[in-house]
Amino acid sequence: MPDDATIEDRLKAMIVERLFLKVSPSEIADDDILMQKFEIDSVRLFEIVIGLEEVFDISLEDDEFSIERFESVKAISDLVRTKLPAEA
Amino acid sequence: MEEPLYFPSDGFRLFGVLHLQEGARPPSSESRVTGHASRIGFVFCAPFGEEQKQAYRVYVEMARRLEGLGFPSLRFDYRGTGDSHGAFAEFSLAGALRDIQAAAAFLSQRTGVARVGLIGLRLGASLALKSVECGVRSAECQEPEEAGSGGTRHAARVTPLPSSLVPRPSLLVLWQPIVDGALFYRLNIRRMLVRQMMTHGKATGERDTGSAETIDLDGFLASRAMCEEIKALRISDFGLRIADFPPTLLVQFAPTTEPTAEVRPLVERLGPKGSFLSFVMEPFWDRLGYIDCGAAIEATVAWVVGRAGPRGG
Repeated sequence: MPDDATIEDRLKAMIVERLFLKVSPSEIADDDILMQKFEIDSVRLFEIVIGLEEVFDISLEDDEFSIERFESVKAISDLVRTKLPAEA
Repeated sequence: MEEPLYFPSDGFRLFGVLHLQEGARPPSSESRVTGHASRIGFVFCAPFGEEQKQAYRVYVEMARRLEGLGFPSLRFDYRGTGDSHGAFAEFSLAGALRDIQAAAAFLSQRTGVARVGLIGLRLGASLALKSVECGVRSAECQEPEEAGSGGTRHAARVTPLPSSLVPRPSLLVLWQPIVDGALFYRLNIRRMLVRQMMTHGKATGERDTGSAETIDLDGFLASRAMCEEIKALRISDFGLRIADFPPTLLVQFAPTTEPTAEVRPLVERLGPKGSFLSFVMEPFWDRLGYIDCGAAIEATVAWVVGRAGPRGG
């Protein structure tokens, strides 16, 4: 993954890898509803949570576990941005 | 032939299933000398909680495969888990280690095998590795502990098994061991929060168990002391040198064939005693749907046969 990859790109790559999806990351649109498109159940969502904490070195608080925050790549990237330190 | 049975450990009655090839009999001292019977058997060390449920059938299939090749084995439930006696809150890592030792001693005594190998997945793999340390430095694993109030134990205090009765592991099979207990604990909490989110739309946090001494660990009533034990578990802290390891197979399940950052230090530590296999497949212990583990089972059995010889002779 290049250094200038966007949060969305890194998320898509992580999702494809950790869920063993047989699609290319570029085939995931930012606003695809992940649960519908990839039949995401609780264990796959768990995998996404763990993956994004690992990839972005962030830690989610209990009250951030709400379903709408994980609906799409766009929603997840919005959440990630709130957890990352502001750029200088 | 599969025989469901109970065997003792620290006063607990542990449930197990003994796999012994049809017609096989515990060898006499003469047959041990002439090599008529399998000389190595295997104890399956179970993973923890939800992972144990998901992996149950894989253990059954691997034990049957070994049985078909003449290797006896014992699958069992730790104290306080599955069909074994005791409350779940009485499960502890120290207790589980003693249960593994009791299972190895029972298997050896019941089938006459001279050597015992340990096969473990996730926490079971970490405990199998810890058992090696117990064999090398027994003082670290033999401290007596107070018996709890529940269950059907009879001993007021634990009497360690005589070391002469506990075979040191002579082969190790480690399927994706937990290398960092704190991370594992965190994953269990995360799994619970995600389930709550899927059910209620958002997480509701730690659930009241009615006792300050226990917590709901993803559906399992765990003692806080056990949770602290798990958090403190770090394979890198095990006091083992290369010379201490028996031949060991480390199996990884990951998106890559190369050792991940998680297991690479253990691969390096095992050195020439270690064999490494990676399966590019989903972590079957963490999935709801069926995942075919046949290739991993076959590769593991082939490694075992290669190290133990036909029928362990």
